Amino acid sequence: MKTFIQQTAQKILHAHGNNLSNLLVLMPNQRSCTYFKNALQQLAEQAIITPEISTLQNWLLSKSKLALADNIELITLLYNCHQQIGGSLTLDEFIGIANIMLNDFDELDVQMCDSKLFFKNLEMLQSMNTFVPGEELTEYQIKYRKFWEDFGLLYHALREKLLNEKKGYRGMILRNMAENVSEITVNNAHVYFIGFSGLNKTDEAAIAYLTQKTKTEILWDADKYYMNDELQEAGLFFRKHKSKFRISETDLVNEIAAREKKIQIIGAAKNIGQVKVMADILQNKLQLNSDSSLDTVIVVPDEKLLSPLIAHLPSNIETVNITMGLSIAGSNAASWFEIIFRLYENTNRYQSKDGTQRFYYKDIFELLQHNFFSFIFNKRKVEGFVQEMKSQNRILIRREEILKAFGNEVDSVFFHGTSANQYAQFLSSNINTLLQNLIAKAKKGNASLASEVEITFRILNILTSAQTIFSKGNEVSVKTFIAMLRENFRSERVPLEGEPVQGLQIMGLQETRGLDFKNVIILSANEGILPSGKNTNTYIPYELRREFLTTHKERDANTAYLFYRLFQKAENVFLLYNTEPDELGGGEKSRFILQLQRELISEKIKIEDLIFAVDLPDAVGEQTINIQKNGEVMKTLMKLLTESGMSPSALNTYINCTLQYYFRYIAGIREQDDMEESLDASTIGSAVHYALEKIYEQKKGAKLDSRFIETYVKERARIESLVKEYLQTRFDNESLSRGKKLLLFKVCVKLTEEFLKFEQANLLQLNEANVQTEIVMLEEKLQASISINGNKILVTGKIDIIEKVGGVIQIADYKTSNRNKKIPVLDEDTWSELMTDPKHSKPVQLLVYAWLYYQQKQQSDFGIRSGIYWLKSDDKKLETLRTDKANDLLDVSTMLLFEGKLKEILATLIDNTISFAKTEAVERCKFCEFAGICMR
Amino acid sequence: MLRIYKASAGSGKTYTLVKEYLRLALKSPLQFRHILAITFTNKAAAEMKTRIIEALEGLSKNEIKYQLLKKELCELAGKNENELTSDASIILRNMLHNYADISVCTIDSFVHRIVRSFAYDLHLPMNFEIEMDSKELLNAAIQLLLDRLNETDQQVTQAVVEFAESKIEDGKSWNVEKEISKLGKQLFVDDAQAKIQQLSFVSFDELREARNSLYAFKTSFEQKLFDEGKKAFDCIVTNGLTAKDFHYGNTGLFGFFKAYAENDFPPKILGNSYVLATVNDDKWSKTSAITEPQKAQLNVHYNNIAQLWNKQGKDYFLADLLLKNFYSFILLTDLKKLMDEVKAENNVLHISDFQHKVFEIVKEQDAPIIYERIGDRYDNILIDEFQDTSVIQWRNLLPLIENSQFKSEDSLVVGDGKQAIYRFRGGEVEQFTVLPKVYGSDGDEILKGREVAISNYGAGVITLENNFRSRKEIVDFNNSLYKELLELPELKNKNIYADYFQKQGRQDDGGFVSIEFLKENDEAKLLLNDIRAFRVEEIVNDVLKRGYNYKDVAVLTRSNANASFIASYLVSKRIKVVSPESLLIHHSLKVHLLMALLAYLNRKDNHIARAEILHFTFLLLNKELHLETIDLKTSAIEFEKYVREKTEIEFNSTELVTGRLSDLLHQLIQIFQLENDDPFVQFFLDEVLLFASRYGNSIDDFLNWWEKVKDKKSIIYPESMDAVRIMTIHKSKGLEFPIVILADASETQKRGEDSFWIDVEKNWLPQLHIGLLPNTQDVQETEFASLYEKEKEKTFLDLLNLLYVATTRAEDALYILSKEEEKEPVSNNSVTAVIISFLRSVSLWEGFRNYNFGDKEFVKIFKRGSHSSLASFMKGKTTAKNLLASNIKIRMRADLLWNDKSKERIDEGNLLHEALKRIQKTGDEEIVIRALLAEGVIEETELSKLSEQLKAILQHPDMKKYFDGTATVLNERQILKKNEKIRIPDRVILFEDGATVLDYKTGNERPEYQPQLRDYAQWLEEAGIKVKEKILFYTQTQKAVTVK
Repeated sequence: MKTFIQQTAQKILHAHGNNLSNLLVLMPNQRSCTYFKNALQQLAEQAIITPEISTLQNWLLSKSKLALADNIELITLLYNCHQQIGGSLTLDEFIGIANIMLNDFDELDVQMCDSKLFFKNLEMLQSMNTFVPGEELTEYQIKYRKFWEDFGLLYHALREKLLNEKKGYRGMILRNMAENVSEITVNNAHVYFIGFSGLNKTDEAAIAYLTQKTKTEILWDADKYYMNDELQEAGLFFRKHKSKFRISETDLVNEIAAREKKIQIIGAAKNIGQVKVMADILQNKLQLNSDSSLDTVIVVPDEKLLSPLIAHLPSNIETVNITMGLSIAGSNAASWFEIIFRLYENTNRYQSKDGTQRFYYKDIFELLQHNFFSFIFNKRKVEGFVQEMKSQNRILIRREEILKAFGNEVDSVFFHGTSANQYAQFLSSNINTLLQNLIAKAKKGNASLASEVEITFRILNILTSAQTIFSKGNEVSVKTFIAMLRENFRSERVPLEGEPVQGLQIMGLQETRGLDFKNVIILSANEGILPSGKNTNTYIPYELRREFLTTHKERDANTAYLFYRLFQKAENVFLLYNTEPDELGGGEKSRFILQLQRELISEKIKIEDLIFAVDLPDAVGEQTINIQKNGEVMKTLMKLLTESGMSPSALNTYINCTLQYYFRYIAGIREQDDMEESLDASTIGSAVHYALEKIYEQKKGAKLDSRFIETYVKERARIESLVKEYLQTRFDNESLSRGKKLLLFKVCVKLTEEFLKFEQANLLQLNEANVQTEIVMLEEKLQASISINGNKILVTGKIDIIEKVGGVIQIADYKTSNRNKKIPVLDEDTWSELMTDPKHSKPVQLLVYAWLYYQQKQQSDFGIRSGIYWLKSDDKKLETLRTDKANDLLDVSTMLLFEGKLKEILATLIDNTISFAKTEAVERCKFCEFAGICMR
Repeated sequence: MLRIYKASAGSGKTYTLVKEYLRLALKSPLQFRHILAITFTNKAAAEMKTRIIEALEGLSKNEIKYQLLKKELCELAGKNENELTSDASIILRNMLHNYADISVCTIDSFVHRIVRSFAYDLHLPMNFEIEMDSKELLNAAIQLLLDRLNETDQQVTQAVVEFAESKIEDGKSWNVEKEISKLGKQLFVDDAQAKIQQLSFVSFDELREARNSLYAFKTSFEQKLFDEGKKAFDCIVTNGLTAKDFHYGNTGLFGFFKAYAENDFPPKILGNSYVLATVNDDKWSKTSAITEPQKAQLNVHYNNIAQLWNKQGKDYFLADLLLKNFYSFILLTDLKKLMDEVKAENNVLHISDFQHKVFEIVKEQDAPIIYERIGDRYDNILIDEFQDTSVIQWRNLLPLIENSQFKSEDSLVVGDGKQAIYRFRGGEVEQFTVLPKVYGSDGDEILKGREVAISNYGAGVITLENNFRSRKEIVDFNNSLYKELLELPELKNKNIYADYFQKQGRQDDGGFVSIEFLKENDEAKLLLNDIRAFRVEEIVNDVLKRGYNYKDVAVLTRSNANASFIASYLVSKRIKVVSPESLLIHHSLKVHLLMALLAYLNRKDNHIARAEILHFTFLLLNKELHLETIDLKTSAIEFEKYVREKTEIEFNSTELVTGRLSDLLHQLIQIFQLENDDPFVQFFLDEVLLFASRYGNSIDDFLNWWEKVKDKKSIIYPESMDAVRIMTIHKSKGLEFPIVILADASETQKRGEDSFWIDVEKNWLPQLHIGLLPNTQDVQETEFASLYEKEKEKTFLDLLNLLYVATTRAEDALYILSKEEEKEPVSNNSVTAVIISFLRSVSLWEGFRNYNFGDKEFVKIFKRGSHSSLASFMKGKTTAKNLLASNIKIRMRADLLWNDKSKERIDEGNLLHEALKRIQKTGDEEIVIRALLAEGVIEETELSKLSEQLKAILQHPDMKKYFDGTATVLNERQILKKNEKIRIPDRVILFEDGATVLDYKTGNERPEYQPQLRDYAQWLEEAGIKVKEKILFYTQTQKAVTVK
């Protein structure tokens, strides 16, 4: 197969021998220029000098006296114009509008629209739209009309400004050239136009001029299949140009329908599915090697797929060429910028009152851990720093602290200035370092970084020209500048070109223009992507676009041409599409596929329609986990039980799930404390506990009366200061004074206050009844050992408060959690499931406390209460654990009964034949931190 | 003419829509451009489009399958068969090549298109994105509200703090977020928008005063009751009376007064029957010691209490209800502001905003100019699933319908009130039932006008009465079931079920229906679940014996929880199942490992993540792990070393290229050898792509996002997979299956309104004229009781409609599993009750047992060409290679201008080169420099230096002549030859008497440059150019050297 470019090269060589240096060859895109040179070289038996080869646009731009203005400059200038004509938008508001307007202006110029006529029409149309006979215009309608008047004013004003600076935007320069075409000097003996289809008005003007000046020849790359069928949109431009450029039948090929080819249409669910199909085709269907891969192109209309595509390339592919425009926004470099931007934005938010710069910890952590910075921040130091900040709960981190940890040289990653110009300088000096590192890495063989280098370089260019603009006095705020950059990253595409031409070709659809391949694989052949359909970002109403400019029709026709053109010389075509719709549609085969299936009917053509199905694995069963109590486990366990002992919460963990006990206490895996952005429930609990302890401490061993409590109830500030005292050990004052922390601080105070109110009333009642209350113990840790099969196991418990009320000992625990249900009575049922069902965790805890106290006293007339103060509940009375006996006290028999249960369960724990395993009751896993490991 | 099609289940609705579409399209080759067909889901839109194209193809090819359709269309269009064949093929071709002009879409995507084209007019950024998740937005707004406490708005701060404190005082959870969020949902409710707008005019102070008024009213009323109660009870006590003196003692009048005296309400506020017996009929206990004056006094107290209730009771309940959510209510407008801020900041619109945005325009602009702006003029509007259309959606479409009517064109709506199950999404079934009247037109001039316009141009109702889906017994069963339902007094809007009766459309008889009542053991719900799942398994196994496949069976449930319970049960019984739950991506070991790795990379000291990494890696490698011997608290470097040593997996986090999430995951997949063909990993990567394209590449954000969405993300299975389908009834809408098991018929689930907006005019509440009542029973006690009643009716209708959808999905057999109650229910507001009353009405009811209808011995009949053949499958395995090793070739422009060794920002030599390359002749330098500046290649500060350098060269006595523009210049032109390296001399000047080759050099003079130039010359000669001199120019020393 000879490609169109090869045929063309041959033709030109044939006509001019090797005397090509004074030819001018103009092509529609860069990639075909490269291919053309390549083709020439393959044909050059003798040395030849390449003709002047360029894309038509670049050639025109290079001939112009006007320099191409940068996007940021255009926006700033346009904004100046906006202000000049009395516009009132802020630059921030204006950026979005500006970008679309600039696109519209560009198109107006490229199509050489009569701007006077156009804007007159526009105004007329828009006033008609708002005109209601006999009614006054509303404010809204006046504004609306004004917008359209301004639209024209802005267009002219911007042009004027740019001309003054000898600059222009693309369309403006092209138009300028086309209108002053006679000023171009052409020394070339012969001009070739190769592979053009849809021509703009500026293109046409250039061609007309050159045709008149020198010898020209236009070589078309079109097929009869779409040219001669009036309905085929792919032939739209050719039919339009037919008479003007005298396109004849002999200029056309007949290859789409007449050449043998195999077409496979393959649907796959979502994107990765398509990529997998592609990999399968490359490896198994085409069985490419290093030679044949050059005949193969993968067309990627949706650049999102590029990264997974590269990752899925099969091992028979050795070299890959990527040629496509990549948006900056999706790149690694952009993710780095996003961190820097956020750092700035959040710093402004969190700046302290005295002006100290402070950073939000998440931003800092991301910065420190981003690989682009690995050459700035020492990895080991990063780890230590992160831990230190976390242990101190540092939501906001000062710059000095970072410098202290990493050295002053890292200061360059923090912005010190105030102006956008300084910011641009700051960014580019950072990017300098970055780029140097990237290039070094890319050269060392990390080829995937090459595209990052290009993108980063482009960003550097943007920043440099921004500085130039700002230094001319067009300064904006840093915030606006960031918005501009973000917008720029979103809209601008960096053209990547694979060079030298080698290996498998990966391209965007636009880049395939003029090129031919034996094997063509097209991804994302879906409506909405191929073609993109009706969505247009423009202010120009459809009616006017139809008259003066282009609409989706032309855009779709262009896509159709690019699509069908690939079929001309191809032998194997694979059309991959996504079968799954997203929120607003999609999942629809491209219309081109529907067309092919119904129209490309020929004996030479085989079309297959396939669906790629994933192989469903058998249902994913849950994995069992059984931890045997082998030597090591037993050793750790026994050490734990004899040295640290078993607390009520450990016991309850064991009852809940033995594996959870293993993970927590034996493997020692603890959930890392995360930064507390608000106050955790446990912190609230601790704060209230602390405040209560501090209050009751004063009466330890003494009698408690309501008046004492009243002093606190009456003066909320006293409670506040106690709560604050505790919270200040963990958080700085300022963070407690705002946001959620403030709210929860108030909550802590309120909880304490409400309890004290209850206590006051309660004591008053008791005092009236002449019942004495006395504080026996506060925050006391009790322990006792219990012997099981000769092992002395320690049982421990930390008790919030022990009071003596009317002579009876009362053990109490404060709880700030929700009171879900009543503490069950210790009846036969409760006893029987006490040590198996975690719903009895409260009785277990209260019994452990009581038992520990009993072990201390060992009295035969033992009889105490053990209960809970529910601080959050409406009813704050001590809820005590009760037996089913008439007496509501826990006595010796209860203690002995419990001791038996305790022995029983501890015996299972140290029994090395019983392994640790997941609980069967899945509902217990809901709040377990190890649910991930157990896959529950 | 507006045609209103009433299409009961299985009545060939889609066929009708396609037929009507074609009838309209057949008018002219391009008429389809003027037809707008609106469907409810994307899937339905895609299906309709496909069916239209297939039908046109079938008609044009004269396929037998389309004969009936052809006949019908010939008749409708007044054409003969040949004409129709050729018209169909012309239209088909036109459609295929003007594809963008086909408007078959969902209402959301249609409105989305309009909003995009009106972005400027609506003050929207052009590039806004769509956020589907209302919870996310709401949550972001609430977080913002809380984050800003004490920073800006002191009033808001005070309100939130008071809110939390008041909850603590009431002994409730201080978590105010939940409650604010609950009420915040109102921000997404269509009907609430106007009210929220109204609310925004009420100042914060007024709102707080309103709260005080409400509170004052409430407490003063309670105080009055208490006073009265206390007086009465004092009277009882001081007179030495006890409970024994009263009729029914404590439960009677004694308890009644006691309750009020304790500031509490008795169970019945005006007293139970014993109390009434005492006060009305003078009943006291037989041994009562009460005297007549005492009686009289108590009577006075009673009457005072009763009077209080009569006079102010309604208002009291109103105040009480208003107070319930009052803090959230106060915060509602602030929340709205914050949400707008969140939307603006993130450049997003919520999907519900679209309708409101369009409504803003439609409201003002009468003419359909709006719809023309997007470039389409619609003559014919077709709307599917009309019963689920929301009020605002219909109002937005009305101008189009009106316009169509005005042009004497045909439009149609298709719907079925019985299948209205999307009330919770704003669907308003009455809009359908009142057609051709316009719902809510009373008192609205514009709507009234549209209504008149529509009926003026003609409107008609057509009922599709055949059922082509179900076999006879099922049709019969449903006919008699819904006939009975129509009689139920609870069903107020009989209109909706008036068209319940269906004729048998299928040719074959047979079919089977079974009703079972599963017995709940006294212990728990759990057991009912077990029994239910067990029965489903039995039924599945039974129908397999009758010739059916797994994929013929659908299990429908009312709740997601039941669906997932049954799914996991069947899975455990090795029955292949497709349910969203059973195919969840996060159920995969490998995905778990990947998430653990991400969590670890996010925070290296995450010990749980470390444990997970070890656990899953060892599991995948079949190795035994002893966590107790490992120190997880060690440094990250040590930890990774441990992983490498124990598993031979080359994991080293410092060598990962981070940045793009998907790149990162691909690296992890390769390093941990997580087999790429795993479908779970495959679809997981799709989610990663989706996330990154929307929210960026932060690992932390991704981890949080995944936690929220993981229970909704499943892998996608091929349609034809042989597995039992398990889904909720909502999901089953529009589908059909040979066997349907309705597994939890008896469960009820309320998805109605949370609250009611009301207008209040009270002299004790001067500050406020609107309010929000929570939907609770107490509403019945207020003057707004009718709202509650109406809601109850609608809830009942929801219940019935879901039952209707479920029972009409089956083709061959339908199993209804209900619950055995302890006693027969009295009222009809449960499905069990409804079924029992049906069984009674057909005189079958004999208590809770099984009831069968139809052919018990049914077997599968294989239909000829029943379902359109699906495309065949392909499968394949590939081995991916190491990403980093693949040799990707890209031209690095940066490299040309950059020197990675020197500290200079730009290698000056290269820069000079770049400039000279662009210069043809002296005088070009100005524009070249300007261009380099504009491109950002150089900075302003470098400008003068560069231009100095250029000037030095161009003005250099030895160089001048090469730049004077007299001769043709070839700048960096390549010299090519097959299989040879390409040569690129910097500048060749073609003088008449021969060419000069010129090369610029930056550094010091070097002899090795000379052969290079001689080589260039030799090549140029071969290419036919006579070389007369060869010059090396050293830019630093400004020296030109002639090479011999």
